[in-house]
Amino acid sequence: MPHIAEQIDGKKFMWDKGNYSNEAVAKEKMAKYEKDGFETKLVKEEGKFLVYTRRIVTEIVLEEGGQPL
Amino acid sequence: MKGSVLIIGAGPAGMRASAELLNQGFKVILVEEKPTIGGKMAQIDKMFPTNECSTCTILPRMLELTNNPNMTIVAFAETISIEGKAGDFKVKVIKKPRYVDPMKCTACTDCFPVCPVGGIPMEFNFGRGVSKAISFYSPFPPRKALINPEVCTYILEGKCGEKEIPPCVEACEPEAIVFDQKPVEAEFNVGAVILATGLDEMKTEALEEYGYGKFSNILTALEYERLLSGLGPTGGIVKRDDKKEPQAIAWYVLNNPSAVGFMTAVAEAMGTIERNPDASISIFYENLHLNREDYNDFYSKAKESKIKFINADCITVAEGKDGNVDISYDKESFNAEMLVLVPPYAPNKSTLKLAEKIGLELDQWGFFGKKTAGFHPIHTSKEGIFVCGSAQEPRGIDDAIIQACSAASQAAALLGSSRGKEIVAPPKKDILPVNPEDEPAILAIICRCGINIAGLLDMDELIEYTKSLPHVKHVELTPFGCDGVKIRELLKTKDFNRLVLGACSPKTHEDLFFLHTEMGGLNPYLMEIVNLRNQCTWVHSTDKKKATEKAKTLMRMGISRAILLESLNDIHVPVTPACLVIGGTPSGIACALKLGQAGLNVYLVEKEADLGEIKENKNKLMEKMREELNKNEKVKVFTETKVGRVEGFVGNFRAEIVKPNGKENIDIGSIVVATGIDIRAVSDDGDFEKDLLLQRDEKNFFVGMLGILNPLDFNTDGVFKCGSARKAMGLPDAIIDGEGTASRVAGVISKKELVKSPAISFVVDEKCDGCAYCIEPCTAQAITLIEYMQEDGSIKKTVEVNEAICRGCGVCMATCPKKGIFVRHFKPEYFEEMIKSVGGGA
Repeated sequence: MPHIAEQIDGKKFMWDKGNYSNEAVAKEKMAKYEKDGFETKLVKEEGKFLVYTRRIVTEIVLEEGGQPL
Repeated sequence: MKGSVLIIGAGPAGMRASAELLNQGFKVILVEEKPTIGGKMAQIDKMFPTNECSTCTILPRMLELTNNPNMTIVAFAETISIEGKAGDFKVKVIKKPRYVDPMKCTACTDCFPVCPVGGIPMEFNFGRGVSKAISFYSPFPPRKALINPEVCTYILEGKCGEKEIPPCVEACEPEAIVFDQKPVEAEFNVGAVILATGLDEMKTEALEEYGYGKFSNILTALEYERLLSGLGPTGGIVKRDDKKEPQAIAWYVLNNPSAVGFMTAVAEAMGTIERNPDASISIFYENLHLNREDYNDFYSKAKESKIKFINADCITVAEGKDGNVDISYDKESFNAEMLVLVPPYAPNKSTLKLAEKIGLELDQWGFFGKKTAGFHPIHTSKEGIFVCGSAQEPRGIDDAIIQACSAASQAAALLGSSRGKEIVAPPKKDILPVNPEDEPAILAIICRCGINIAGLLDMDELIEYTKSLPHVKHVELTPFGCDGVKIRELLKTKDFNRLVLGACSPKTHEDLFFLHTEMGGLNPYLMEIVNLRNQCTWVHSTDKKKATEKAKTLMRMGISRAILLESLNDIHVPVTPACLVIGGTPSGIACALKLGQAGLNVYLVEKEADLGEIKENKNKLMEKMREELNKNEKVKVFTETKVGRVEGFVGNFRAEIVKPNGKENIDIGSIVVATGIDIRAVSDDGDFEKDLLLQRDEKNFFVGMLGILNPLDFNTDGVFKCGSARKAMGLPDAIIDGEGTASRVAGVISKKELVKSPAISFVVDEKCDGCAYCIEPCTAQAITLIEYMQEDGSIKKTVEVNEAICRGCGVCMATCPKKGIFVRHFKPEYFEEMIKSVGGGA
């Protein structure tokens, strides 16, 4: 089972849970994510191609109900 | 130019100068005339004006020095010559014979009971308490036995009792006894020398006038400190030589030009009242020179207690009945059961001898004082030889610490180009691999801490109970856990994969225990400290039974946590090699100049048009410093400039500076606040005080880290304070403050990287749903919310922690409703187990 999170170039990237059997399919997926403003990274692991993404949230909206202290 | 410094005198000033220079990448040779280090600070009980325990404060610092591979401690040695010039001195010392090879002695003490020569008065306790002819000089390091040649019958007569081979030799398994040991001369080639030879009580004929040496139960203040000390001859209970515990005690502070004498009397009187609230205490004094506000506060607090202060130009002392002392003053009289004389202070005898040998000028009182030192209080009449602490003039320990930092920065400025050239890397660690699934095998070490712990608790009961707790493989009792002897010895067997220390406060001792644990070969995060001293014996000092029960509970809780602990590795953070000094005050200028001279980059920011525009700046030393500052290429000065927003963390700050022609961002590794007496100014440009979490007191001075050893530090790592930003002071003190701060800064920015604790926040991505409750409460602003894609096209959220910024405070952990973030080494389940164990189960 791949790691759900990976530190790549000092940043945290999250796995999209897909096990892509070839690089072309993975890269196609990456291009789609990048269009939506996500940074992407491709990781090859045990013959599978894994796609990791991240996008910083600049506007933070907390759930109603306040801080659960 | 050599990259090493020789320091003469291992009291608090000499030790601190050593630590500062080691931290900046210099090799240090520390020469001490006594067999153990610590100086007078090791002999006193509590320090004024903070009332901190002196031993508890200094012992960890001693042990850190003795464990540093770039530190050479030459104890029981005398400096006989210093030749050469600044940057290249040759220093000769003579090591006195101990008749014990310190490299072989393991401090096992097997030789002590077999020695037939006993009843020897202990020099460290000023003749009180007795030892054998072979003994430790004091409880402090280097903890090696030595033989007193004046009483050892084998040395004096060539035989020991009826035996041909002395029993100490027979008892000494490592064969450390060397009866034919002779004085050995050693030579050190160093770039600079720091004199920290300290002071002595002036035991002149004047003391005899007050009965000292003639009548019983008249002591000096330093002698009384040994009675107050838990490590002293009476175990911290004040007793006369006839064993009686005195109820009526008087102090007489003889005409003393410094505040130190009076403050010593007040601290001792307070310590006595703490132990015996019913005691009748009087302090007679000739005059009062309280030159510091905190000294006045301490005095005021003492006046509120039942201590009686009597201003008396003269007292007369006569021998009373039953060993008492009759004191007469101003037609009144006081019958004391003990009289403590506080004489003026004189330079340590070795100061005078040394000054003569190396041709240094002294002031009228015999100190390496400012009067003869040209312009600079830390300089001597020889370039490259500096002075600090009470070798310069009598002073409190915190002042001595600042002077020591200043002396270190003088040496570093001189030898900056040789920084790092002579030091060696620490030895490679041989750490036992421990996996979470490994069966815990716990070593429990319980520290007696002198009388601090063992004086109250039923130690036998506690040990037996601890043995019965789950996974405890061995329990060991040690006189002082902080010396590390038992920790290292037992861990090196590799029989244990957890360590629980029943000892003192992690606040003061965690770093040291980490060091010992690591040196024993165990990952330090597999060690748990149970605070039996501060949280048990100190707060329940009157109820042995209940305190022992609580100690058992605390040990049970500690062991339940230790079972769950995991190995962690340090985090390495790169450092930006530059400093921002805020304020072109005398202390700011002094700090920037010393850093620049040491080859480190500085941005000096002053909001006014000129640097340090105050009347004292007409002082010649200040003028010279400003000239040197202008010439120094490492210092970049910005006038009419303010500091705006600041972000980042130790080693990696970014500050916005607001200049007349616009804003600029600068990257720095450390920040110094040298703003002088200034009120907080918040503008649209930012508020660096808020950004850096700085605090001021009611008088508008910045307040920082607690503790007498930390006068220049803020609680925010990498940020320091000096001069009138921290308290009102005159120009010479402001300069020393600034230079001292330069040493603190250099300890950060002269390194390529800082080692950071791994005990910081960790996100459990499987549980974190990106609710973001943890983000705003994070005081370090270390948490960022991120989104990520799922294969099915949905978007999820989680948080990212900047490990370099995170301080491991745990606020995020407290706010998280999903157990999605925790601080490593402080996982919620650790606390759950501890709480469960309070009820009885481990």
